Amino acid sequence: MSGIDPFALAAAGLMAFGLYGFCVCRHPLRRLLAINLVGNGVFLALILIARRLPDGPDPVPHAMVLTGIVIAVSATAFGLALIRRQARPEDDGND
Amino acid sequence: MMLLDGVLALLLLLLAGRCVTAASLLQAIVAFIVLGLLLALSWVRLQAPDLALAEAAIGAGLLGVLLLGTWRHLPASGIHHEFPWPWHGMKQAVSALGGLALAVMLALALHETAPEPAAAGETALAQLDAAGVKQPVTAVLLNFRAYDTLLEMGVLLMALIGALIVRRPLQDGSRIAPATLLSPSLARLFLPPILLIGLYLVWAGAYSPGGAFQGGAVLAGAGVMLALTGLLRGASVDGLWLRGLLALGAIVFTTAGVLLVPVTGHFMAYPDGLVTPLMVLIEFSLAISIALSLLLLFTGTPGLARSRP
Amino acid sequence: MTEALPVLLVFVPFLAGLGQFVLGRAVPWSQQFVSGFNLLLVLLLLRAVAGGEPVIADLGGWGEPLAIHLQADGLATLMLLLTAVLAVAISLYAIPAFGGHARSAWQFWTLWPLLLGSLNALFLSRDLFNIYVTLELVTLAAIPLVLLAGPRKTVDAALRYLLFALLGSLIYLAGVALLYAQAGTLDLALLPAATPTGSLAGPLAAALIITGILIKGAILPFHIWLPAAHGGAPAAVSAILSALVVKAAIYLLLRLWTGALEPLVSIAAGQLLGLLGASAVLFGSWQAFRQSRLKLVVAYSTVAQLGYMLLFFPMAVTAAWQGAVYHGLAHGVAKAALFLAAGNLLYYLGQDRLEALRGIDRPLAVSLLAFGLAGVSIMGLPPSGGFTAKWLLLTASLQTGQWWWTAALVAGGLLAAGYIFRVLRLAFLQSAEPAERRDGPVPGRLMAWTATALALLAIGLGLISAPLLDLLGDIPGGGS
Repeated sequence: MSGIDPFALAAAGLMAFGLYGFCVCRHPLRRLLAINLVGNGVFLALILIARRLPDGPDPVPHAMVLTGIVIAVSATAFGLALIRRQARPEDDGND
Repeated sequence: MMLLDGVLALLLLLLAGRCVTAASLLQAIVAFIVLGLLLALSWVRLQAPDLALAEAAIGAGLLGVLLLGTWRHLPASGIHHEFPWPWHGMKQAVSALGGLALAVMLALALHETAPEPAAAGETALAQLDAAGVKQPVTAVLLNFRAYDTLLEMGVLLMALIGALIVRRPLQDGSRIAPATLLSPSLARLFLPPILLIGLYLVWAGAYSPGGAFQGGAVLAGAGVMLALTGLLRGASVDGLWLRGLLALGAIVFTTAGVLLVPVTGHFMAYPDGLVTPLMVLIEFSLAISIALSLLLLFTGTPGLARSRP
Repeated sequence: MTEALPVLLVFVPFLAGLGQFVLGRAVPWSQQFVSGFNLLLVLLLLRAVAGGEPVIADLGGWGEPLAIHLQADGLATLMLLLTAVLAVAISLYAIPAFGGHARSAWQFWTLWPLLLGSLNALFLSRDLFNIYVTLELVTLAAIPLVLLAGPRKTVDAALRYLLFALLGSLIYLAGVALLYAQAGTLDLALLPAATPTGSLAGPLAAALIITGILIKGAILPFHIWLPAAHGGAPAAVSAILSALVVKAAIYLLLRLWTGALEPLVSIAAGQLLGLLGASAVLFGSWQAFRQSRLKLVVAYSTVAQLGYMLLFFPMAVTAAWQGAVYHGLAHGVAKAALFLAAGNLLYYLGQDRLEALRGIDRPLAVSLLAFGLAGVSIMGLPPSGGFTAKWLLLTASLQTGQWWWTAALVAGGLLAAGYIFRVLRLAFLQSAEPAERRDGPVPGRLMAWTATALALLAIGLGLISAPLLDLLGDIPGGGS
């Protein structure tokens, strides 16, 4: 076990903290943060996985991370819009 | 250097724990943003500078601004107290045990990953000369696996449409965030260099770290800065040109992919002589759509307008 | 020439949606062309695939193991066919239901073709990471569509849907990362041979991928986001969500289980999935029986009906394979008919409390007929498509000696009869105190007859199963 990468531990920890947060937190904004923690853990894991080619890092997982970040941020931004709407239901327009 | 890695990893874990267990929502959000920045730093250490750039600009920067903006909108009474520690209840304890088990398995699985190199990645590096760009990640995103990137533009667009459906109508002319350290004159001063950096990043994506996403995010950041200082405001009407620019990336990508089929025989394949200019064209149109989508996700409006003096 | 078909199936609806977006106002008739053309493309694809060879398109031309391929085999083509047929009906139904003037109409006619293209992309994908992107596309097209019923009413449901969907896809992505670490490719066709067995990472990756998909597919412990979202959406959208969107997740499960994940899955995992499916059947049906609102009855029925498809995994014989997939088709058509019919009742009543249904048989005879006929297939009575599917599943349970699944099949059918007849009984009861309710306009012919046409098709599926099952073929890879 001596050679275990600290970042592998961090990636696993981020995913686990995120899942834990999703399960125990009730506020949707906290749940959204927890989901993003899971996402960050997955991205970190992908970057670790990319380090195995002899000539430079593997670009395929890197591309997956870049795509994943943009998807995660767009979906999170949509989630934040929903949370803002949920927090102030009284004024209703655009229905 | 191992020590630095260890400290970084430890800080990441502490911040993740803080993000979940912080008593106040604001503390959780701040922990998340700092975590994003440290993650970017870790990625520099892990030979992924372009991803670090993207994470800092999009994952920590823009998302951070969005999170704080949302936090400001929440009524104080609506933020109920959380009991997120494992000893607070049965559900918490079970989730903690489950999380721990998962973490151990994931760490072991990441530790034992097979030693032989990935076939797909090797192929990508071997064919880099034919891809029209020198940067391997850009080559994968815009050429080898361009289809994923195209669909991703669809995700971005639909997230924006969704956010606009739930928006509350805003009083036109109201600034988005009145309290800020930036003054309009300072923002005017910063604007040209930020725009230049953004455009350079898009352009540089072909050879070095950078690309449409990072550059687009920086351009969006310039817009956010203008919006924060009140030089730019959200408008409730959108125009044909604006919608056209939002869809530009996907449309240029698809059109190039379809029109060249008779030449190349494959959808989304690019002929040898044209590949570099096509890559640049696609990269800039993607960056424009990305920047505008992210900016509108920030303002939460279908349109934009200059502020009236 | 045939390689162009899968590509067109993705990009024609996608470009139509983008064009609609840029245009800035609704053009409902253009979508009729798109859904018609889409059906034509699928029929052409059907002919190409009927020979037994899949149609494959290599996007970018970089070949294996790097490029993304689109692939249409029997299973994918059947799902595309279901999608295309429902798209034609739902696009017609949506003309009167959404109209063309309001801003929400523009949003619907923009998002719907994008969702259609996304579903086609998902069914055609042969790449693990591309599947992640298509899953997100489908989700982010579906949730804004739910909101079109009015943000105030649906924001809670939409938010919960989004949170679960995001978590599900990231768990799926974690599995994909671990699998890529071992196999070095994302191509579904290459993965079984490239995946080493005997490590911890392999089964963990498979477990993460399957869990992520189960969350997206609203299978029992993860079903809690579904009823409010499917029950709260506009009727046309509910039909799309219940008939197609959640089914896309189950489709992925079938595809990956018999393909890319085949070396990693175990008999115990199959039994566990079967158990989840059987519990979903019983729990969902029971909940459907207890609801007091019509659309929630239909939504909980979806929770139950998805469970039947999971019975393939413990049995894994040809009859179970055919039964599960055929159940997917039959339920898709019948559930779309149920939701459209329920939408018609709602349109007339202005609300969907079951109590309000008393004595509406006269003005809404056609829609009630549709509801009843679709109900026949949901209950699994002959000669409907639902019957064929359940018969196949029953055969499989006898073949494999796993008789206990029979109990779930029978109990699910009885409970389904319970909740369908409960609705119909109320509708045909003469109302004692006439009309406190606010009777709205009677839904037009287009709305009534699209629902009926789908309901008739759900019955008819029982009579035309032979060619469709032929097209599906046996379990890929021969099964275990």
